[in-house]
Amino acid sequence: MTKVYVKYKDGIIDPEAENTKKALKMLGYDVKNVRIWKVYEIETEDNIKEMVERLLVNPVIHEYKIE
Amino acid sequence: MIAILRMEGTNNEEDIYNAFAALKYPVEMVHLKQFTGEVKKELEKSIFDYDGIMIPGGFSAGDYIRAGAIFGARLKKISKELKEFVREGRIIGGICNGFQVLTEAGLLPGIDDVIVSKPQISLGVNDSGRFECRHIFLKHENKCFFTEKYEKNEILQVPIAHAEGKFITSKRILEKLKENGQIIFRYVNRNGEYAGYPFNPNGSMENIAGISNPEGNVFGMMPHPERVFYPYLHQEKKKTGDGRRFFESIIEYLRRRI
Amino acid sequence: MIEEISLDVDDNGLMEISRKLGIGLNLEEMRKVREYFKSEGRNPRDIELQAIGQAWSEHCSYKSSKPVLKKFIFGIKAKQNLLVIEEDAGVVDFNKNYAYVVALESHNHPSAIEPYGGAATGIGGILRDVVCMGAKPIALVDPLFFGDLNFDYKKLPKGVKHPKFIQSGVIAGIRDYGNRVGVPTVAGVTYYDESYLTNCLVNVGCVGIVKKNRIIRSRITKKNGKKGDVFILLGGRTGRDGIHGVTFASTELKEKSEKEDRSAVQVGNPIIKEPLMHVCLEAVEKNLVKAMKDLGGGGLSCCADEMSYPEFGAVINLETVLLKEKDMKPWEIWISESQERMMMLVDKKNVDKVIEICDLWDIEYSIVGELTDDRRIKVYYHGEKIVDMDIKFLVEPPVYNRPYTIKEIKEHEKEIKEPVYEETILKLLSSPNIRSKAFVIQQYDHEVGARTITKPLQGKIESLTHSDSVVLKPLPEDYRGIAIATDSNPSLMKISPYWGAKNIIDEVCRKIVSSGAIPHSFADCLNFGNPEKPERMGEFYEACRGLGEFAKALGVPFVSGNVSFYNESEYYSVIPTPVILGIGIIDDIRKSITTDFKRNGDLIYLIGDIKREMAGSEYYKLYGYNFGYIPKPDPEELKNKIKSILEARKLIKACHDVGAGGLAVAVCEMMIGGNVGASIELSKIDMRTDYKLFSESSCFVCEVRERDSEKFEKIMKKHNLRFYRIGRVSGNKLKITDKEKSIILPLHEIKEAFL
Repeated sequence: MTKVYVKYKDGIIDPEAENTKKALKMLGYDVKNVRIWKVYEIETEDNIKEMVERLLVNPVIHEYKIE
Repeated sequence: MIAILRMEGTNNEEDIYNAFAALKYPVEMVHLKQFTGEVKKELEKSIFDYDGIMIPGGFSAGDYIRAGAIFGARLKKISKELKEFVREGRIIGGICNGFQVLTEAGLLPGIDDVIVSKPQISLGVNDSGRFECRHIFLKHENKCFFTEKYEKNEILQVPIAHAEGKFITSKRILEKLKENGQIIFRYVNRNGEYAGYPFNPNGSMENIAGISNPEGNVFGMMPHPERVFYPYLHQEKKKTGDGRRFFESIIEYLRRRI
Repeated sequence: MIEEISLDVDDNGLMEISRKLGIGLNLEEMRKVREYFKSEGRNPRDIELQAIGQAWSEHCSYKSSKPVLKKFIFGIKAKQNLLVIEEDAGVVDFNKNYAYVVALESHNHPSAIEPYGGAATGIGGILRDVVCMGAKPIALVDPLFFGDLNFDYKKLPKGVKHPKFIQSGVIAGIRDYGNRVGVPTVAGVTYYDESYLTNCLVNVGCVGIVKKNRIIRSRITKKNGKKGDVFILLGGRTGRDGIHGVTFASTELKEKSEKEDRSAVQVGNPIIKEPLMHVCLEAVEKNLVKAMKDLGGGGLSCCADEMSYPEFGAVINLETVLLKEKDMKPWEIWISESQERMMMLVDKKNVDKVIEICDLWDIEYSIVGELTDDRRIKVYYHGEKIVDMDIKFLVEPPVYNRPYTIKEIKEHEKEIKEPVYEETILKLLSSPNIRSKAFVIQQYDHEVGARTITKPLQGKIESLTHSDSVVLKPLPEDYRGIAIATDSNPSLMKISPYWGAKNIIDEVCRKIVSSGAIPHSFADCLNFGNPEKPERMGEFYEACRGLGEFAKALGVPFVSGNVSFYNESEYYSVIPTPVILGIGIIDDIRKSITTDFKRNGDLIYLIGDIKREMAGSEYYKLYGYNFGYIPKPDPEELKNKIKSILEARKLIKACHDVGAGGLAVAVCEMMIGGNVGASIELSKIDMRTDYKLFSESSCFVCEVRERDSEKFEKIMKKHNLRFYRIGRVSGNKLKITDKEKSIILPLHEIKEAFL
């Protein structure tokens, strides 16, 4: 099983993360930053890197790592 | 003949269909699978049977992964044909989700090549973090084959309905877009000024709402001209529908081309 | 896999079986079951008892409500009725070739447990109810009722989720599902009251449009079916999600519900639903479908029974059903309520044509059985017969005439001190039940389909106000339109279910008329507490009496509806909440009216008799006054108002009904939409200023051009209507004078309070 992690590049606003941060702060926690990763678990013999670049990320806003 | 391209989750196809039909231009719904050859022989179609392809709004494949990503990736299976199609001067238009599909498929901005293998534009999650449906003001800044019938700098009222419409691109592409006059529509306020949220509904770079390729025959925009085809569909009642001339422009170009 | 269960036990033993299987049958019902199997000469199998439990649940059978509904709600005759009450949705005449279809239903319990999934699948279910009539869905509505958003987190009862969490989940669920399937969500209610804390109400409604010669029945009769016709199950796969959903809906919510009843909540997949709708409608258009029904409460079991009853029977082969997970027990497959599934009855010779459509849209299907003529339901699993029952026994469960008590209502009024007016108006505008609902409405795509003529939010693009109803244009080729409004009135229902119900009908009609349309039909969703408690049953009885009497007097029929009981927990019972979806017809959508003021200098009229009927008003609630007279609308008077407003339609530039917050709020809302002020003069009305401004009596506010005023007044006089010329659209503030009193509020303060 290969894991692909996708997240927004630094400097690209992630509204979901921003909203999560806001909600946590409203609950009284001291939160400085929230970052959301999307994780795909893929079972395959094929070329993962190609898959990722063809569909899973948009290089304008995303970076990724494969494990 | 115009093909309106659909797959599971596209859901604005009828609105666009009705617009062309009202102007008595031949139009047909085609499932993506019919172009990519994933159906029985007798259902297969060639893109070259059509003068133009319109990709409607909706949530193709649920917009899972990213808006338009799955549709875009599947469309790329016929990249070679699409390249030829665009080079021949036929048109490809995308509205809302269709715009997202065109950027994901690499058909826009069309600067380095007709189709690029990696997307150069992202239509990201709105700054408000949520789906927004309301009418907004658009300024028509440059003409392309989809907008010839609008005056330059004319202000239109058109609805938006999206969660992912924030236009993001690199500095280099942005400069090229400006240089080539590819920025067709920008979000403005009633007086035509760039005015930030809520007038720019999603946080788009430089208020960009719609762009074309340098030649002007591939075009995408987030707002929905088909939803103001008739005057009575406007939020503020008008004498004519602001969306009508969008379709008239396409038809006029296609008639001229033939 | 299959267990045989002996019913040869005493009463305790019977109840033990009912509990163990989780089928929710009471002793009397269990005895009937025992008797039935005695007559069959054998013991039942677990799957058969499960099937009975589903079919006889309150949710599926209406066993407590039917007698009351029959007495008051059903049977209002109208020439527009085409197919009413008997199917999943009502079918009503629209024009020569088309009919519209209406359905309204609750999804309360699942939403209380899992707000996002619960609300989303509510949308899914109501869409199927409309599609299975052969109709294309053209609009969704979503009346929602939550607890107080500012409820103290620390005081939340155990296992109860905070109203803020529930609200955001429910709205996201409706948004993500409704937007994805491409059906506009155009109307709704968001209402807050403590009584909804432990049991929110999530009602969902849908309107569709169908060619009259393509109306599909779910019931198979000799007219549309014959022995040997084939059942095709299509759409989503069957899983363990949503097992016992209906028995869950037919009991009170408990602290443990959160953990134990999760499996009763289904998961929706709009990206199967969207193409599934295409497949169904394409098959209908090609005339391939003989009957169609969605799989909802009670799953395959209830679906096959209800389709075949009373003229036919069915044989189903359970192993053909496509599953989400392996090793599901046959009874689980039989009653699962997994989403996105439809059952079609198709002539054998047309099966291939239906399959071809499925293939294009990548919709999975299986041929699960066929129609028989023996009026029995027989289920096989890999060749072994596991169900063999008389369908009548399943579909005609015991009906209860539940005992009820009616609470006596004493009205009295007390003298109160006059308020600070400016402050009161602003407080009302910013109160949760009045303030702008734009943050909800704009998350829903209400424009998709390009047929939303007047919008849920009306007025200037930068300054939007609430609509009364929304006008749709269902057909490209016809200017005839449909107006849609939803309404309830919990604060009056709390005081008097009978008069509260009448007020709801009155208001929903006024909301339709404000758009320039004529009331045409109603759908009702009746949300009440536990009917086994006589006072709850009394509330239900009185509400139905009020609804039925008023609608009958107007001659407007109820065409479809749903009853949701057991909306209570050990902490609270919800206020009796009948929700009404009103449909109006407008001959030409270009003549529709909106609520926003249009032009400086126009005259403002108040139409109707404003009275000191303050009970349940937002004004009294704001200051904690729990007395006052109840508004008592009169259907004859309403008919008069409807006639005159419609006759004067082309003279009316803006129209708004007086609702929550009274005249003051109505005028403010019209100002906000027009982004313009108003000056109002009230001395001609003989009452104290606060009663004039905040009474919620049955009235309208209209904007009329000065040059049309004579014509307008003549029409009002002709119909003997009380009306007052109360002011003008003008400036950028609200200015109210009443004899020596003067109230002034700048527009921007009004907007800030409202938004």
